[in-house]
Amino acid sequence: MRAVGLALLFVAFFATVSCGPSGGSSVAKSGEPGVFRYPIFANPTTMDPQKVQDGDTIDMLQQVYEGLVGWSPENKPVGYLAEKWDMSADGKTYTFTLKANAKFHNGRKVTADDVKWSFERSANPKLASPVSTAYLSDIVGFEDKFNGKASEVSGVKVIDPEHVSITIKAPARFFLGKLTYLAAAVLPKECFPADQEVSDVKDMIGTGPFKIVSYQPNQVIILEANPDYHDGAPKLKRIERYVLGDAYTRLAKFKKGEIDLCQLQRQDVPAIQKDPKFKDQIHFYPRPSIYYVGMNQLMYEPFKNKKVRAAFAMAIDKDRIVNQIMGGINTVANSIVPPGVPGGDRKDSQAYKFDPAAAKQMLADAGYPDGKGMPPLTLTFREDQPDVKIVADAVASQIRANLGVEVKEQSMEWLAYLDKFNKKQQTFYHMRWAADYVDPENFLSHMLATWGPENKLGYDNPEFDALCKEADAMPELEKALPLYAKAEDIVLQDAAWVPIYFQRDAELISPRIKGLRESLFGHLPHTTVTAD
Amino acid sequence: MSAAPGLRFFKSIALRLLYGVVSLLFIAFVTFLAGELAPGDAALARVGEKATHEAYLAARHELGLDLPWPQRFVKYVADASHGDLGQSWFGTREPVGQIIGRAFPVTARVALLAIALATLVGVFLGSVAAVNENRAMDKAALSISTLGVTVPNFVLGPLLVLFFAEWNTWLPINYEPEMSRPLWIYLVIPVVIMSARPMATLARLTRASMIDTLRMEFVKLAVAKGVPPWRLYTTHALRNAVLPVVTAMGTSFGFLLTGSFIVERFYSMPGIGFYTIDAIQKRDTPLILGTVLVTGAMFVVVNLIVDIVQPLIDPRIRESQV
Repeated sequence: MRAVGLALLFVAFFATVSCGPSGGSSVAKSGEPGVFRYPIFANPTTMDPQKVQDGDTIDMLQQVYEGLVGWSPENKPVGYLAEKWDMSADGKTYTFTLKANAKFHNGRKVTADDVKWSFERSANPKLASPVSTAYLSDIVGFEDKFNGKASEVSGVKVIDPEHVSITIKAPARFFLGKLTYLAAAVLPKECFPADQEVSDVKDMIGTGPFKIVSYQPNQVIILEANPDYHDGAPKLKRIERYVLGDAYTRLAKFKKGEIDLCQLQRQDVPAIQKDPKFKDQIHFYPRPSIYYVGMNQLMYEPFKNKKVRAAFAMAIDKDRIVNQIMGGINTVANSIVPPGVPGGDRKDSQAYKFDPAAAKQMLADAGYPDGKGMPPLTLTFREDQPDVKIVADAVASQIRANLGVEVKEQSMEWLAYLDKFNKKQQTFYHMRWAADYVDPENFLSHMLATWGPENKLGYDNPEFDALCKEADAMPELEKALPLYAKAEDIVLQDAAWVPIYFQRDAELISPRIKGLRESLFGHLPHTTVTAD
Repeated sequence: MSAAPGLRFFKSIALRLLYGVVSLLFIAFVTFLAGELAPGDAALARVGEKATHEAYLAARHELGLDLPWPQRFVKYVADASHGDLGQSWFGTREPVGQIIGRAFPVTARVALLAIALATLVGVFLGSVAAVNENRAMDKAALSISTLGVTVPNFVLGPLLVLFFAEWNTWLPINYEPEMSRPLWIYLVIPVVIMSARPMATLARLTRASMIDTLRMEFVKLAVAKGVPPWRLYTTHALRNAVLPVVTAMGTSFGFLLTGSFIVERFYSMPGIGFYTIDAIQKRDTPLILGTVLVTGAMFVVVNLIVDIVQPLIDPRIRESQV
């Protein structure tokens, strides 16, 4: 009797457990011709192109949504929805002609009204886009609308159904680069309220080469070709993005042929380079991003002294960190602007060279012989990236060994870290900056000028500011480059930061995938990709 | 059975349920407060590193984070008492109840199979070890269970995948959404990993408890009476040794139901642990509270079941309740 009761209890429990939906679904078979399968590391943070801020989600959303312009493989802004554009003589007004055959996924033609409506949606304070002001506030009236002072964005004007003009506050040669960002994506105005985030797959109606057909959280996102795409139907039938959070699992699945592309972790690269089966499938991509060590002059008295900063810069052996400890996948940074960005990776830059003896002497000259008299110092870094910890460990141990300065280390959870950084309270930290657009302005003025939004460490040099101001205003980038070079040398000699390395990414790509296009910012929409 | 003891039994269950509700309120409060005190918030997770300060403030307003926290907490509890756990702040803004409804069965299925496997193997190993105390069989069984306790999930997982999914094709590398093979094939690796630790614990507990029981007078009497060994070990000794094992099973099962972030992430299983950690990293408060409350409630329920089952096994407990 008792046994029966017990058994019943278990059966009942088992029944409740097993009646839940099974993990399986109606997802199509994998690995067939025309299907491109690759992982996404986590669930998309948003389904709204005008609110997206992380690269992983952008890589998915850019297949569905487009703006007037986007990147080319040569890292130049080219027309996506725009057929062409003209710039006014004063450099402030761009008049765009829309492609005649551009249609939304619901079949309706894209008009200038949609463009204006979309910019106003992006500026809608209730939508609260985290990125639109960073990319689009050059447009006249954009900030007024975002701050609730205006009901429209006055700088965007509909001329006729095929033409729209955008006026910016001052000539800015990088404006079109900023306009490539998805905050400027064009959406059909009839489909959802202007102030609500797109959050349902059904509502994801863009103009891009692919349509989203299904999304199972923590499992898979399926995109299907848009046969009416204005640039011709994509060659793929379908894209499957599997949510795979674990690097080991991703690599194992690639090796088994279960996915076609695998973003490699730096530490997995050497083994793959030795593997005869896969070594030819590895591809390296330089990224416009720099990893650096910041020294905050607002938080730590000795960092106000240029000699202390210079001593730190000379005490760090970047070559050893990048080429020996990290296996040479990334590139040693002896400047601030990365390779790929015009004026980047200058070989004749005035960066301090590794010189432990000179570093020691410099620190003594600054009044801290062997680090004596320096208040306690902690090097902080985000916790979730193994390479960041490896570099932070190496930097801290080199500072200890070469200067005698006692440096502690502290890893921080990312949001806690970012919160402190935004409050300008990170004292001595290892961090990354990745470009928003390809222009030295984005690395020099944006990061280190006194007005630069990313200057969180109190760097202030009027000479540097003046050079940046002059160069930023030049309409032609070529003419501005010598000024930026000079400004960059000033920063390097001031040792505002210690640049450590420029990022290079490695991807394994199956030979069945051809025609994949990359820009400095990552994959471009997969219009030309084929899968055998 | 008279009415009084039965009534008392139900009263004690009702009291336990009441304690359970109070515990859940307390859990919700502590979780909420911890989220408030932690630096960084969901608005920061949403806006990322490139946002302007105005955009960050707008995101705070959008999520209602600009309201004072006691007000938000009271509203949360009021909504939750009507079964409304709110919506996730990210992705498709899915209702939390719906996410849990989908994720919990995934975790529960693995947990149930894992505890069943752990019990079968653990009790068997423990009994064999006890019967052969200090002999080779005992040492072998003990070694297996020591391995179970000491080898961490994140080592066992990749090892199993390497042997059974990479070098061979018997098992899949991960929990695939397309499920081209029968469901049970996808469950083997997670169930084995998840069962390792409770299996080891249960084996050691069974062994110790059996050894104690085998030294008792009534066992000697049974031997003297000529009870055959297999009956002696199963009906007499194991039956009496099993009580602490049932308690430990309950606790282990409770832990298994909270899901394992490591295993679920490694095996790409969309279970409760995967969602919880993802939610914590993004400060997705509604989802954090939802998953914590549901797993808390599961603990309460499992403990209650253990309390009900114990007197069914051991008459002494039943007597003491009367």
